[in-house]
Amino acid sequence: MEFCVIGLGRFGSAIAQTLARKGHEVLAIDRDEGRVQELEDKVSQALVLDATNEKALKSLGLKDFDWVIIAMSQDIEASILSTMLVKEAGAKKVLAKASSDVHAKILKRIGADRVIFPEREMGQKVAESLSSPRIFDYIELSPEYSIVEIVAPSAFQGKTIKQTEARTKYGIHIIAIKRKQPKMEDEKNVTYKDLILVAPDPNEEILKGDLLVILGKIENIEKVKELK
Amino acid sequence: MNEIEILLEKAKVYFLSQNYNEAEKLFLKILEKEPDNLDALYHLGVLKEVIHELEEARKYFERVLELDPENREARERLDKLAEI
Repeated sequence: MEFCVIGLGRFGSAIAQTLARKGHEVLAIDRDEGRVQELEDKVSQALVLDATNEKALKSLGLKDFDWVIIAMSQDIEASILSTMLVKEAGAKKVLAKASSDVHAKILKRIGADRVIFPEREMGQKVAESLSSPRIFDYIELSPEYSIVEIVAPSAFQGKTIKQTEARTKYGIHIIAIKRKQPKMEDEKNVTYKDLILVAPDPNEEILKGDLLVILGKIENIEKVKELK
Repeated sequence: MNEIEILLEKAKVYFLSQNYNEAEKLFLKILEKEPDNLDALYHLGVLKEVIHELEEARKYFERVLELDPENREARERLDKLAEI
């Protein structure tokens, strides 16, 4: 796929480099020459360009990119203006980073296809994992539903998924199991490999130490979290 | 093979067969006899990682490093745990 990343701060450059490592075509843009130079060897093309300059943006042929990512958010004016300009230039899909609710609202209003709050999302995840050490990851799907990763409660260990009555009694779905499977590393040491069982069979047994990825209503997930 | 070595082998077999409770018991038994046994301490750390008792895992790896500051495996495990 082809991506254009505008704004090469920590967030933008991480996106650009990760996409490039995954083998995608990445055009990385910033008005700061130093930032552009840092990425030069790591992405398909890196350009010094002011993304609020309409003429300059139009010369890029943004129609050809699958996603244009507006990664600057500190300078709200620049973020809004370049989101608008890239949409006008025919970008198929635009993802923009917001720094506040009002900023997000404006970005959506002017046509951003996706708006994200990396700091807020990370903050929620860190808070979840610190306040409940058994929670490892957390995705809010809607105010009512979420997906969390929890350590299998003892009440589930040694039982098959069916026997846990996850769906019938607790109203949650176990959508994946992450398991550390011990193996010999060399002649002396035992180590483990990470296994992920996606959409596990109802007859799959839950083992001590399994991480369960569960989907359900938040109130139901809370009940499962309270299980010993 | 001395008694400790036999216990270690047994504990590793339990560990590999995912019988974590028995494995832990045997590793702890080794530590009763030899509190500074690096092999047992290290493997208890790995076992605690597998069963997601990460604080405990950290303590065992730190103990390994106290006894053997150059221990590369324990250092790598601790670094990885800090990222979680």
